[in-house]
Amino acid sequence: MHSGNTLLSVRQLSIEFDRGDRTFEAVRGISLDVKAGSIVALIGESGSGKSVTAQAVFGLLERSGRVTAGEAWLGDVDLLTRKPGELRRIRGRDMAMIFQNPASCLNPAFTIGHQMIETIVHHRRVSRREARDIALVQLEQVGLAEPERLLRRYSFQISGGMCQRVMIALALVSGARLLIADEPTTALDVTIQAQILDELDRLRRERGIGILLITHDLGVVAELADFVYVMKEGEIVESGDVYDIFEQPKHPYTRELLDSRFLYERSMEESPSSDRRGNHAARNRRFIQDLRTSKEVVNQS
Amino acid sequence: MQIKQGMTLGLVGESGCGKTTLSKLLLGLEPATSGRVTFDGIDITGWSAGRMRPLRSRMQLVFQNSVATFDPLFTIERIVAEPLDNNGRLSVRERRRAVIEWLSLVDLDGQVLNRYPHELSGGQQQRVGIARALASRPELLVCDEPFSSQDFMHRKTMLQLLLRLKRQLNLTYLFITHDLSLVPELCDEVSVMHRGKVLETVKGDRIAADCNHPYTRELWNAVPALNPRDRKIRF
Repeated sequence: MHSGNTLLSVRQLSIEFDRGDRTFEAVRGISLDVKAGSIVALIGESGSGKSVTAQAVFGLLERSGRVTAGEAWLGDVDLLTRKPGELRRIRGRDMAMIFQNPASCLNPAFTIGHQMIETIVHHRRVSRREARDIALVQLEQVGLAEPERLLRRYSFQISGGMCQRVMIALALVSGARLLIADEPTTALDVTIQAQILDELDRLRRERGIGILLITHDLGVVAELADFVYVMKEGEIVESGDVYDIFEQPKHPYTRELLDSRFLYERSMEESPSSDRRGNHAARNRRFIQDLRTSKEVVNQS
Repeated sequence: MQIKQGMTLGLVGESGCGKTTLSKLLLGLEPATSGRVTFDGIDITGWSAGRMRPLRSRMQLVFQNSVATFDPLFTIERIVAEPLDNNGRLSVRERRRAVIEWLSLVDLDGQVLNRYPHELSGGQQQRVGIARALASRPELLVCDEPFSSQDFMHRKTMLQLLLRLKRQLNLTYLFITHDLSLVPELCDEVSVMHRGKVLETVKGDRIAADCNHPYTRELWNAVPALNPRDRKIRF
């Protein structure tokens, strides 16, 4: 399953952010690999550092953040040491990224066609006419009907699911081998989500694209991933084959994450373990008793 | 459709199917062109805002993005206290005490009283939104996609909080969501909407087994699997 060549190899990556006059270490020495034709999930709660990791690899860290240590190899290029101009070329050609909110990645002032053609002309040496043909093929390949008509439309005229497909088409026009997908379906309806997941799965199977999937949604991971890295507070606490992670999680945090799929397997009562919580519950009980009594008074009057 | 007292009714369907509009109709926030809405046996169809006011406190909304419904210049105390003032005058001290009690019920402590909405975390803001809704002593709580974009851990905590409150305060819930994954655990019954119509209503924990409509099946099949061995979407 995890058989292709290694596309992306992140080694001992650390990332720091300035917060006022202090610094905050968001990512501490993490390592991960993405192989061709595989989907690798990086999971954890919001704030665990998973998105920041993706941004650093893609060269999109905010100004207040910087990589303090580590390497990120895409083939034989260390992405972290490249100059911005060089990185821009690599981004178009070898790797692409899609985001949670696809509509905000498209410019509402230009048609879909204009933006796609611009991108294609920029990355491949082709005429606008040829670029248009490439765009049509790409849109069809991500399952969009009537691509001709779509090219004339604006991002605000199409649904979120269609926007995300346009983004995938746009991300792949230049033949990228690595796709970084940061919560690609979180903002979408479940039926549309299923279609996009299907699409990602097809890209991996048919084109051998390697996908780094950043998500907190364990359902998406269960459906799609081959390999899983679990991230907590800037560190990878566990990694493994998706079946091992779901069936034999070793780290308590992984177990906790997996438990969060269900509402009921633990006691729903307030845990009496600590005094503070005990007092809290007792106080709430008194308050509720008062509310009930006052309601009866109102009803009787 | 009917919501019986003390139950949780789920209302599911994709975006644009009319879930939110239907909930507004129920709350009298949107006029009906035909049909009737009754609340506790009272026909409220076509009631004006003024006429609805006395009933309004008995039905409250919890929003996906609570912070958008807060006045950013109000302290948390003032936000939660507003509905209290609608039900008669309280002294400053009584009012503060009541606000603290309501906040404590949603697991927030008194330290947030003098803070402003932007100073709180997203989770705390949602708790404040729930406390404010509860402070007008509703019987029916309409939750519109309350935690759908949050991570699992957070969503679980918040849903458990809502379930606890339901038990403690004898609430009735209308739960609007496009996420069917929690329906079996959360809802007594679920109504499936598609293009402005309720297609069917089934028992929450029987949604996979008892649904008759192909659209319900399609929705259910789109829910991601809980384990990699049960993958639904592949090939």
